[in-house]
Amino acid sequence: MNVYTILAVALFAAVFLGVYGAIYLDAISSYKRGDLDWRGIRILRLGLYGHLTIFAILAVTAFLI
Amino acid sequence: MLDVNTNNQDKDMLPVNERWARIGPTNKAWMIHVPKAGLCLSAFVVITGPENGILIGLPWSFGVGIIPSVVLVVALQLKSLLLLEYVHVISGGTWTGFDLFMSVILGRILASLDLPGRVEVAKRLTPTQFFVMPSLMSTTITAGIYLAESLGTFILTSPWIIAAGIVVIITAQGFGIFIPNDMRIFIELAKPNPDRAKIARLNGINIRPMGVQGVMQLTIILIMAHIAVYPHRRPNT
Repeated sequence: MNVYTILAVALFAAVFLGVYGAIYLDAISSYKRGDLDWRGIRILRLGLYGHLTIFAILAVTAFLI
Repeated sequence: MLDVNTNNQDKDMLPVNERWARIGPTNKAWMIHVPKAGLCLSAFVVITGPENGILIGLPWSFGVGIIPSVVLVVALQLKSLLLLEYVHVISGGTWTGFDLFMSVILGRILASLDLPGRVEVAKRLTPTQFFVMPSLMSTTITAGIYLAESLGTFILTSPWIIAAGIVVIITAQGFGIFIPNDMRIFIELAKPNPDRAKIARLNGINIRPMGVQGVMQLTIILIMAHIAVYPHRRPNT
């Protein structure tokens, strides 16, 4: 296992989730105010799942070295 | 591009307002129902109805975006140095080319468009590149590190490897500017009454730093070329 790769992917994921989480919370606030419908939240969630999938695949590579 | 106001329907197709967004000629998209949408060049859906709608570049973007990381897994599983190098070069080249295209070509085109035109471009561009760019960034860097390790050139004291750290700045721009702006555009597009000026402004913010990205990437490609031609290897490799 390549420890540096795991750490790098974890760092990428942490930064990404931090940015994404902030925007997601903002979107939830918009939804509660009625500015945003549920579809917007759903799209954000799908975006999150997609990015996490890509990060997970890259993390797998650490175990192939 | 389909227009919801016309009744020009193929007899084998559903009425326009009952269609799902489609990625292929026959299959339903697996993500979002778009009541008023049509297929454009099999790549993404174009909304033509008067109301706003999020469009379906997203599944397409995911399908394309997952390819580099999957090929990287295959390269490592096969222990193929050739394939690993290929993944690194093609991902990095595509990433660089995309940034240069955005700043040098698309930026000028957008500057010549009026506000609704810019919004229309942003509505199509943002979902289509949403997964592709982060995937290219991450895969290029990951494959590059594996490649340098395989070739014995990953020496952290080497000035050229240190110079390659410029990629950290490029990546920070991606995660700090492009992805957050993409998501803000998504959120705005999903609102019943989107702020068009905000969408155009956010898209402009995304386009402008791509010139800086392009310059840094031209620099890093020079560094990569130097490492490839004049490699400093560990003594035991």
